[in-house]
Amino acid sequence: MKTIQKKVCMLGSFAVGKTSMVKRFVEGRFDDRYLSTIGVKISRRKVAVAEDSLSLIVWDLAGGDEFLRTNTSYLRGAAGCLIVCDLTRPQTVRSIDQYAEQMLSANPAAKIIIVGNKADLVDEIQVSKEDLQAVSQSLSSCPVYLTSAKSGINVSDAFKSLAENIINGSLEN
Amino acid sequence: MSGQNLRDAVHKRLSQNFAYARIAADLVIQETSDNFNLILQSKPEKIYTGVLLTELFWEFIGAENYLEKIRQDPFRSYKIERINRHNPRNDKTVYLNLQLSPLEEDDFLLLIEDDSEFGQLEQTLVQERNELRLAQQQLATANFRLRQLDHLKSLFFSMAAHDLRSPLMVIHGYADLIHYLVNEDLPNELLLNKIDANSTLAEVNDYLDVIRVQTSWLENIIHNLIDLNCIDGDKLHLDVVERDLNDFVNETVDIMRPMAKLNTLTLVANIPETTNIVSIDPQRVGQILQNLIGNAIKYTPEGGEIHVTVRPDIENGVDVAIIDNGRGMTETQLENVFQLYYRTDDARRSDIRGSGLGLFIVRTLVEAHKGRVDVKSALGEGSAFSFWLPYAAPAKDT
Ligand SMILES: Nc1nc2c(ncn2[C@@H]2O[C@H](COP(=O)(O)OP(=O)(O)OP(=O)(O)O)[C@@H](O)[C@H]2O)c(=O)[nH]1
Ligand SMILES: Nc1ncnc2c1ncn2[C@@H]1O[C@H](COP(=O)(O)OP(=O)(O)OP(=O)(O)O)[C@@H](O)[C@H]1O
Ligand SMILES: [Mg+2]
Ligand SMILES: [Mg+2]
Repeated sequence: MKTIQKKVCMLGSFAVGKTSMVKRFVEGRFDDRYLSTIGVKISRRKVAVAEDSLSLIVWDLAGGDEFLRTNTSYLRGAAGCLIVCDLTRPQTVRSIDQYAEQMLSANPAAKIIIVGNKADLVDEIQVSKEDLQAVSQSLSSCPVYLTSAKSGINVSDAFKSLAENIINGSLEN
Repeated sequence: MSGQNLRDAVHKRLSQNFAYARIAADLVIQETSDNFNLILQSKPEKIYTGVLLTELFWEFIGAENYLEKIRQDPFRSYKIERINRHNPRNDKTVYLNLQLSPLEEDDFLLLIEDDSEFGQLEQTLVQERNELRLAQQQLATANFRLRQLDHLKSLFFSMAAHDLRSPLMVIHGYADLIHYLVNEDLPNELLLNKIDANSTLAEVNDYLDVIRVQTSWLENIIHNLIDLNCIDGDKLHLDVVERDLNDFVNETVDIMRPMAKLNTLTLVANIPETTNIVSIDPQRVGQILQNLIGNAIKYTPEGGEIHVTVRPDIENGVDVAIIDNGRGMTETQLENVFQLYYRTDDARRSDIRGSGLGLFIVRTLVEAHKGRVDVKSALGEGSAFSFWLPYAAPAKDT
């Protein structure tokens, strides 16, 4: 078994739960407080994929909105990304395309996973899995996950799926 | 100030914010500046020479190929701004800027700037901006929902008004007919009918039946409206008494029988021998039964049969099933049937009146009695709605 290290990025509008997802994935914790990220915070966690062990270097970036784009220098050398939106805020779905485009122009072979987060807020959900699947259609039907950083549901599955896609992608080449 | 003094002063100043290191082509750290550990918030005794750059700064993992290009081009450098490091001593975030540029003899120069002062300021500003935008978005969403609700309400009230009007018109019409039949000043064309007093009496009775049915239906609609208002405002209050559900079901079926007869339907009650004592609000349980039997009557074509069956001793409670052999429903329709304002497309297209209120109220009222509702149905074969209520405490002894 060999360990490969791969850089992946957390992209998406502000306050969708990028930092919370990383915290859940890496530390197994959740915090209700919102502390906006500026710049980048890096964490690392190993994921087992088939024979290999993949070490994901996760870049948690600041979320923007319609007016703010991610600093491209942060995207250099990334093998993939989770593009996160907030299921209770339809506005956050609209920017998924933009983030994907930015990622792919920096790294054409990058793997993308779309994540609808805050699935625990059942009464406030305004975005369905079908809505996200419609977005994923134009992104070579990349996988879609509905997660909750709060309850932990599906969070590691989303990261694991990204890791698998990266490994399978590098086997193809 | 002499040249040396100036250099020392500048150096002292810079060393509060800048540290540096020499890195070999294979990315192993060769030497570090005196303040390196201070800027990295690490223990003074920690030694970094011999450590791989990518182990100290995971930020460089994945960029190895790019760094190799930089090393061969003196005009290029690799910059990463605002990397976050946690300072365990004050629980604050330290923001560092990293810059890697080529140095002579194949080495790199790593420059680290502690930018925390500005970083923390920017963090506060971004935090405020994001919280403001979040509040803005939440307001916009709430506003949209309110407008939707408002629209739904006015739509609903126009439908309800429509529903109230049709039984009223029927009552009015039949009341006029009775008036003509029993009064002297009948118009000529009706005088002919007044030959036989017995036949007149029979007719009056029939007309009164229609009026009774329509009146109880009107009552049902009005009770639904009142209940909806209570449920909406969270003020649903039950006036509970202990009663035998058997008697109660019998009485309600009797009230509904003329309506079934008008639609040429058979309405049968199957009541067990043993008593079934439950704590209920009689008016509300009447509502439940009238809505369920009323639906069975509305959605079963002429000649059909409706069975109202009380089944005792189920999970320390009693179950009432209303089974018809009417039009039935599909799986997807069944999933939605208890939702507020839901009507099947068939029902909407037909001339059967309704607002999609009844079953929502049934479910809410049953649940308010700590019971539950259930439905089974097959398209074209019929439907079986049922509700279960717990026995009045203490548990029923047989
Ligand atoms: N209920 C619920 N709240 C969540 C979930 N994930 C995140 N949050 C909350 O949403 C807010 C924003 O979460 P963050 O993880 O800081 O969001 P972010 O995407 O990193 O935001 P930026 O760094 O500003 O881009 C915080 O108050 C979190 O507690 C979730 O799954 N469920
Ligand atoms: N016994 C039944 N057989 C077939 N379909 C039914 C039956 N009961 C209800 N439905 C379907 O479920 C829908 C919802 O019923 P519900 O009682 O809530 O509304 P409604 O009867 O249309 O209007 P309202 O009860 O407010 O006058 C109906 O419109 C009808 O399509
Ligand atoms: Mg964040
Ligand atoms: Mg009804």
